[in-house]
Amino acid sequence: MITPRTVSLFLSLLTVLANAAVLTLVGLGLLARVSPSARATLARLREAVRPSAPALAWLVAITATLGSLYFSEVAHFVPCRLCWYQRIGMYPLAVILAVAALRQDAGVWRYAVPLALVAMPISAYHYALEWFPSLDAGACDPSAPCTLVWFRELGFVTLPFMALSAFALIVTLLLLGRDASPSEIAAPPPVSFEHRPKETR
Amino acid sequence: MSRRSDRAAGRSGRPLLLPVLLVGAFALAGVVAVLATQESAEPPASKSAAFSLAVVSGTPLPALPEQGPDPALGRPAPSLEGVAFNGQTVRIGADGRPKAIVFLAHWCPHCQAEVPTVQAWLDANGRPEGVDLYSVATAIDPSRPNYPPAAWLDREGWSVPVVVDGDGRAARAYGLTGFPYWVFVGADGTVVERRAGRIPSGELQSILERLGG
Repeated sequence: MITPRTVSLFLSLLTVLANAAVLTLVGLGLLARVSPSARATLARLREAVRPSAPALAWLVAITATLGSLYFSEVAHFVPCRLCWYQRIGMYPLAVILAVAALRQDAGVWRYAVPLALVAMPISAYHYALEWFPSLDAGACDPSAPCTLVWFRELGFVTLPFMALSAFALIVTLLLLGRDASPSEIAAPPPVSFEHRPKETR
Repeated sequence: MSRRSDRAAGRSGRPLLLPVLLVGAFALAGVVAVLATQESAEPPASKSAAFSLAVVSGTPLPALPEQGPDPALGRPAPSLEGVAFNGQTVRIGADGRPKAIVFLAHWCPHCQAEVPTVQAWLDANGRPEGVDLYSVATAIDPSRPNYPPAAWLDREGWSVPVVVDGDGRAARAYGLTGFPYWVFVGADGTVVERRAGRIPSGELQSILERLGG
């Protein structure tokens, strides 16, 4: 039988895998600064990931979104104020990245990464609050307190930690797969009217 | 259009390693989660004692404002009668003795920290002179962590009498706005002070001494 405990453990295991992926990629990125072979590995990895980066990031966002909806709508874990702020970051990503994946638009990182970067400190603060409740007001709100820890899987994975990990993986994947030729970033993109809707006459 | 088709072309012929890895990760996490939680299905909790209703009489107090003077000061505190988790009847009413009543939620980390602190203070100093100490277990919710409250308070060796407030009516009657929630009642049965949030042991001691003195 699938219980909220099963789902929380399932998502926690995925969270750990996401953490491993982020740490590996960030470590490789740092190593690439000093090691030519790491640089070559990173370049190969970027080539391999680039076409699928928006789709992979979407997979992370949709998993996080569906997980969040499961916990609030099925398991009836009432979202607190900080949960809602994180939802404001995650839910649009599930839509934006879906469109980007369908259009194979690697340039989506310019819109998606800022959204995730704004939400990440909120997740980090919420996670810190779970360990140190006195960072907040010193009292629990009777209805939906941000200090309430619905579950703590594997000793450390909680809901805001899941959100933080998902945002971090989305940022990492999108930056890894960005269409990052420096000239393209520096110069404005070529103007094309090919897709532009005809103006009303 | 050309950029898009270029990318689409670049994709063709790519190995299936990435999708296989992803499906594998999801499947592995799913199987482990199902297997690990199969036997941990919690038995249905007995609801009778955990959700006993308190009997409240008297005029309810207004909610404690976040700032400014407390409008409940000097007003008679409603009396409460309920049962403890062990079925014993507990009555908190005007009996000519000052009282400190703490409202606790089992899922609130501040309450989880307050209970052992107060208990340690009681163990070190004994019961406060001339003041009766009571607690009310409220906001009881089986879906929230650290349920049932009876097991939690038992684990903490909580020696303060408990009134079970199964539907939160006692908390509402006392104008609760946050956990833990302290209400100090004078010997004449009127509210002397109300506080939402933890009270450091030293401060609690001075409040109780003032109340008892």
